[in-house]
Order: sequence, then structure tokens, then C-alpha cells
Amino acid sequence: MRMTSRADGPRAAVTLPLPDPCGLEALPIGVPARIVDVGHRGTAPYSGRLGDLGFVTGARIELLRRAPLGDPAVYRVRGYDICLRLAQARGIRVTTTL
Amino acid sequence: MTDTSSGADCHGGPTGGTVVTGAPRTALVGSPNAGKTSIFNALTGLRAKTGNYPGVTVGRSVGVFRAAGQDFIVEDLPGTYGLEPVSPDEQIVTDLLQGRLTGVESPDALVVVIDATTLWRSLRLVSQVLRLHRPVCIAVTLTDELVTRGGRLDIPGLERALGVPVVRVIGNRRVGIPELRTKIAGWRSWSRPVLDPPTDPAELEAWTESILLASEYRPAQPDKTTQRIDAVLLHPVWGTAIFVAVMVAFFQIIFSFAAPLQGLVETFFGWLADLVDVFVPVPWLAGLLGDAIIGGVGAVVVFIPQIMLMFLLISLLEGVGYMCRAAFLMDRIMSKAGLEGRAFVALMSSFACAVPGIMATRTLPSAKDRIATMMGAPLMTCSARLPVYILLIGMLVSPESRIGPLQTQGVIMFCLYFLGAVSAMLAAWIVKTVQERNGLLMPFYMEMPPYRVPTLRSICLTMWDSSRAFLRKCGTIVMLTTIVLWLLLNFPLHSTAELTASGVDVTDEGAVTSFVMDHSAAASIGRAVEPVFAPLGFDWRVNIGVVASLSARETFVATLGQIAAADDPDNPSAALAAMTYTDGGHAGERVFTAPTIAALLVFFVYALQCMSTVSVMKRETGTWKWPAIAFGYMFVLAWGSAWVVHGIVALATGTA
Repeated sequence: MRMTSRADGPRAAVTLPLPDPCGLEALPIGVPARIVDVGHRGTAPYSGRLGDLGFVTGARIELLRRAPLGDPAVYRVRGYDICLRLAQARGIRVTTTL
Repeated sequence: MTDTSSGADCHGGPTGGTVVTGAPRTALVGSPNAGKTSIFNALTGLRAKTGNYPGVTVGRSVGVFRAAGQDFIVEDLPGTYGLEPVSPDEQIVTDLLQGRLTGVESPDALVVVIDATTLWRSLRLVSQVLRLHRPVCIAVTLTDELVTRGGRLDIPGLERALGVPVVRVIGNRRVGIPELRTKIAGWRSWSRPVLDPPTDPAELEAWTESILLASEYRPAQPDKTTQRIDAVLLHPVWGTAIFVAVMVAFFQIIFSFAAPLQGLVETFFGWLADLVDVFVPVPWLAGLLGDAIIGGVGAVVVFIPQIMLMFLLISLLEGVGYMCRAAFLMDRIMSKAGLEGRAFVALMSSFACAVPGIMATRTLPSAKDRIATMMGAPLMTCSARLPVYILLIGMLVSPESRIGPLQTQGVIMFCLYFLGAVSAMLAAWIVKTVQERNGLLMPFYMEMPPYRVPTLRSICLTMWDSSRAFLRKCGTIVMLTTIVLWLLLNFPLHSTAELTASGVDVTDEGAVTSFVMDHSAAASIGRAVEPVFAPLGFDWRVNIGVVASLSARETFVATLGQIAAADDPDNPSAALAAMTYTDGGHAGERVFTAPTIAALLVFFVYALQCMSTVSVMKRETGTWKWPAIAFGYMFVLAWGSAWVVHGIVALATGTA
């Protein structure tokens, strides 16, 4: 995914074969996606909080950018921007088939 | 200054933030960026009382306002995104709302503050608050921004859909504040929803959609200006470069801009002390008034320029929205110390002074992170260590000495700064790890709001609040320590006859000072602690300096200077270098050998010799536990490392 993280064009990476659904951390920049499940990989104890932040099943989500060192990343969900670390993003599964 | 447009009497009743019991209590609930605090400030004016919740490091603000001839208590709860707690800070909110917090009254009514631009997400918090079955009123903020970004929201529609009163408020511009006051005054008659919002995720989603539909909600478009600024400020190369530039400027401003102001404060208090010398004929009284009391007040006030400047910058960066961007850029590096990006600013400020640095930890949302950062912050090389380092390094190596092309003195100075910074990160990491050994690892999330122009009022309020809090809570402790140390250094008193009898030339001020100090209570302490510091090579006079530096590190230079000045008033530094042991097994040998100087340097890197830091830690954590731990661990670390360094340098230089 490192190759695509610098891609600035909105749909530049759509052609890449992504497992579907995939973890939110694997989502390329600028590709609209939909959340299918929350609470994997150790994030279950606070999946309720992720829900309070707008990460709920069915919500549209988009990766806006990653920090210079790759972590954390800013996502747009429910019409606002929020930053998550990779550890939290791994617990959220998304699909690019809207 | 305070708002009087409400028609309600803002000036009568109990002032100064005294909280009346029996008055109705309203709590403000909301997420961190919703604008809760500006509503709180607008409601209560400058009559807020800040403190801590019993036994925890979570700040508490309670204020009072008067409406319809009655007092109303308002409490600004810590920001939270939901009522299912994931941190100790949020546990406080949940416990308080459910009336399970001992020693704190549970609120009668709740005002949920929500940001219109994040309404979709915020309705989930609203649904949780509604299920508490308390009287609830909604305050919607940022409706102006929603409209400029192409969104819309029908307030009466939202009110009908939710079944509770809704008020449109813009805290900073004071729009809707009188209406909110009137609403709170009539809290008993607030309408309540007929049905509870659902808990099932799918049903909750449907409930949210129906509310949004009923209030004709159209979400705001992404802010174009913010997108353009972020493209630069968060760019891997430019963003990092700008971040470094901002931090250098930040550090420069609190380090160099504050210095002349602090110089002015010092000059002013020096002038006051001189006045006392001239007009008070009794020397000990003049000393007590001039050196101890005026000096004590001065020692407190001298921090004010730095604290105000730092909070000016922090509230500017925070208000504009840069702080979370900086945290975003630094998060990966800070996560190595178990901290998050926002802790960077606090540690950075500690290079100037740990006092504002510790106060800057308020920007961290997690109590564990605040404690961990506070435990590390005093190890960052503060400006008070600088004169000590300069004096000692000057005695250790000559300015001509070089390591390759570099001046040795500069290299040593850099190493000391580096040692401090690494130790601070390490200390924070250890504290964080110990605290989390049997707890859930806190998830990290941070909202990135659009760039906004903060109001002058909100910035001034932050500056005023922090300075006032510092003066009130720390002032007394710093002043007391200064007075006690002065007493220790100057008592018992000696009459002129006694001085003459001991062979002291009473016309020689240096000789008198030296005699008084040699026979003072502090000297007895210096001698009493000699066994503790002897392995480090400190003699009793160095010990006096170390004891005196407990109030503030820079006094070490002044104290040693005074001691040395007694021997050779014209050239105190030469006298200091040539100082020899007066008694004991080492009598006649030089005190300031290379191992001793190196040990002193390392001792100053680690020891928490700063009562201002101790008292600000007490203020920020609300308990003596953390300052006690910090003082203890830093002393052990200081002594241990100084002992090791003394040994190594002694071996290397062959001076046992």
C-alpha cells in the first residue's frame, strides 16, 4: 500500500486489486468506501466509542491523507474529519463497492 | 466586560465564583470541539471556579450566573464523544451524570452542546443523554459556519423531532446566550421526549436519519480554505518544515521574548528591595522585607511573562486549529514514548521552563498522558539550569579546548540538553507503561476541525485564567519556600560585637555575609547532609548551594558566588575554582575537581530542584502524590547518576 499512499489523484488506485472487504488501514487515499463492520483486532472493547465517532456499519468513509511517517491518518466520515492510528483503523472493515 | 445584555442581574449575588448550595445545577455535556467552554465562559463571565474532581487529575470548572433573581450553578464537564467511558476522564462524566460520584452533587438539568457541522455524529451523544431521563436542553453551535459551508438546519424542526428544547448559540459572539440563560432558569418546565431513543444499532441509525430529515438537515460541504491550507501544512515535506519553523518560533518567543520582560520584573523587585535597604535601618528587618518577602513575591511574578506568552501562543495555535495538525505530524514520534502528538508542545515548552510546560499538559485529553508528560517535563533542560551549566562547564574545560572543529564547552552543553530530553521521554514512557500495566490501551482519535479565526476575547480569557490560577495556587508555596530559605541562610543573627569578637571586619560586607552564612542554619544543614553528598565530592558549602537551589536552580550560582566572594571579592570565579576543603580528611584539597564538577552537572540534569515545579504539579494533579513521586525519583536518579559519573570521571582523569 505504500506505493499508493502518495497518490494524489482521487481515483488513482482503484485499479489495484484489493481484498473486498478490506481493513480501513489498507484503503487508498481518495477512494470512497463504506464501513461493513467495526470492532476487529482488539478494538472490540471500544467499538462503541468508534461508533460515537461516526464509524458505524453503513457509513460512507474516505481516507484523506496519512502523516509523513505513515501513521496516523485522517478520514472523512459523517461529514467531518477525524484522525485515527493504524491500530484503530485495523479494527474497521470497509468495502469499496458502494 | 461581562455581558449585561440578558437583562438579568450579573453583578448581584455571591461573586468571585463562590458556589451556593441549594441553587439548581446545570451541567454542560458535549464533545471536545463543540464549543462547550466558550458557552460556559459566556454564561458565567469571569466568575468560574476551577479545581479538580476529588482524587483525580481531571480539571473541573464550576460557575454561577443570576437570572430571574435566582442563582444558577453551571458546570463545564470534560469533553466526551459518548457516555460509555474509555478513559478515567470520561468515567468522571458518566459517574457524575448518574450521580455516582462521591463528594460531587449530580446535576438537576443537562445542556448538550452540539456542533451543527457534525450534527450527524453528535446525535448519538444526544441519544445517550436522553436515555438518562433528566431534563435536557440542546444548544446548537456553529450554525453560522454550517450556512457558509452550504449546509442548513431548521432549529424548530430539530426541536419538534427531538422533543426537547433547542437553542441556537454562538458562544464567542454571544448570540443566543441570553436565551440560553432564560431556558436554564426555566429548567423545570422543559419538554421531555415521549419515547426513549433506541439502543439497537440499526434502529438508532434509523432514528438519527429521521431526526436529520425532520430538521431539514443538509450537511456542510468540506471547507475549501481548510483543504488548501492542509495541502501545505500537512504535506510530508513542507508540512514538516513549517512545523519545525513554528516550534522554533514558539520556543524563541517564550525563551527570548519573555527574558527582557522577566528582566524588567527582576529590576523592579530589585529596586523595591533597594528602597527597603535605604528606608529600613534595622539590617535583619531590611533583609527579611527586601530579600525574603519582596524577593519571594518577585520569584513568583517573574514567571508571569512566560506563562502569559505561552498561553497566548497555545490558545492561538489551538484556536486557529494548528495544534491538532502539529499533533498529527508528531504523533508517530511521541507514540514511541507512549504519548500522543499533543504532548509534544508541553515537553517543548519545558525547555523554557517546566512550570508553563506542566500547565500546557491541560491540552491533553487523557489523564494518564497528562501525568506521564508531567513526570517527564522537569527533566527537559529549563532556562534556570543554563546559568548553572555555564558556570560549571566554564570551570570544567577551558573555552579554547576543542573536540575536532567543535568547542568542547558547546559539545558538553549539547550533551546535557540531549541527556535531559532523552531522559524526559524515557521517564514519560516508564510512567505510562506502569500506569497501563493492567488497563485497556487508550484508543487514539483526534478531530481535525476546519481552520477558524479565534476571538480576541477567548484568547485573553485563557491567558488571564492561567496566570490567575498560577498566582493563586502556586504563589503562596513559592513565596513560603523563598522566605524559609532566606531565614535558614541568615539566622541565627549575629551582633556587631559578636562579629568583631570572631575576628570579622564588620565594614567588609562580603566577610560579614560569609560569616553569617558559615554559621547559619543552612550551614548546619549543609554539614548535616555532608555524608549524603560526600560520595559525589560535594563539600558542605556546595551543599548549601544545593539546598538553596531547592527554591530555584539559578540561586545555586548566586549562593556559590556569595560564598566565594568572601575569599576574593574581586574575582569570585577564580576563588571558586581554587576553593579547598576547610576540614575533614580532604582538608586543603580542591573542592571543584573534574569529577565533582561533572557530578554536579549530572545532578542538576536530574534533580527536581524547583519548588515552583513541585507546586504547579500539585495544582494540576490536585494531590501531593505526584509531586512527591517526581521529587523522590528525580533525587534518586540525580544522586545515582552523579555518583556513577563522579566515579567514571575520577577513573578517567586519575583523580580519585
